[in-house]
Amino acid sequence: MTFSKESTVNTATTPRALQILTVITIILFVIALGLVFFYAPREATMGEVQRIFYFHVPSAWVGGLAFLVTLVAGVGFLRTGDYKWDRVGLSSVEIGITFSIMTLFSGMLWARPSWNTWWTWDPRLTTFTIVLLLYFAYLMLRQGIEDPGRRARFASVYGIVAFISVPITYFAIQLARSIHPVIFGSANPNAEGDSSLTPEMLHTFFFCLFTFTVLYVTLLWHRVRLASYAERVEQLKAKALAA
Amino acid sequence: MTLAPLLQTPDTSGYMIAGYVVFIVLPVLFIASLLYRQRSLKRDEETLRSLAEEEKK
Repeated sequence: MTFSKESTVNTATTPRALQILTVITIILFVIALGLVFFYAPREATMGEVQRIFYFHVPSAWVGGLAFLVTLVAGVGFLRTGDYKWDRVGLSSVEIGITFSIMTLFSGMLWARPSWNTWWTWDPRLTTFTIVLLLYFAYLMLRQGIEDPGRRARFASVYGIVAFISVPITYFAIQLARSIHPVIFGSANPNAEGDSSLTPEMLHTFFFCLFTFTVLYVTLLWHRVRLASYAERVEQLKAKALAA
Repeated sequence: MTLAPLLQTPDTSGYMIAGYVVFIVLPVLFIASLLYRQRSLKRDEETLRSLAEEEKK
């Protein structure tokens, strides 16, 4: 078992910048909740359940962003062979899956009173589920390969190819007939859902979008540090076995 | 016949609460898994280091 470079990240103490970022993220999250419940008005047609929108869309955004970062990390690893890219790719997939599951479940809870069903095989929902399954398969692929070099190479290629599913999901509701609302950039006259947001709703939405992006960066930083630590322990195990 | 009941905003607060439980519980579970894995790694590291120390002796 060999790694091209020793993991040199100091995992014993959390860097000051990460500590500050974590505190800022918590504050932003609390403010976002405040805006959702006390600033944004209640939507007249759907009622309180519409407030799910403010966290549902940012969750989906973070999922897409995380998988894009995995693509970039995959390219980075294939070009340089540096394992830090592999750690970023794996960490980003884990976060992407977490936020995608959030999107899926919150979407179901929103759909029940709005569409009168928990689930429908709508183009957006179907393609989104495929994305989620593809990235679960990414984790399973990694589990199945023992050699770190091979694992990182395969995962990089897989991460690049799997990303094709993300834009397909985004454009699914614009290209095919769908009951899922088109929030921004509606180009499909056949799309049945639509949304009109008041200025307060838009302020809240963009603040939540920003908060979730910061939350993603914070979680990614923590997760990459954990991956570095795991690599260091693997190196110690390899040394112990070789001795 | 009045249309008033049809024009009333439905009470969907239960679904909203369930949604925000999802938004809070899942990141908390993710953070908890990070902490759990970190502790496991720390235990492994300590064991490996003590084994290495014993071998040196």
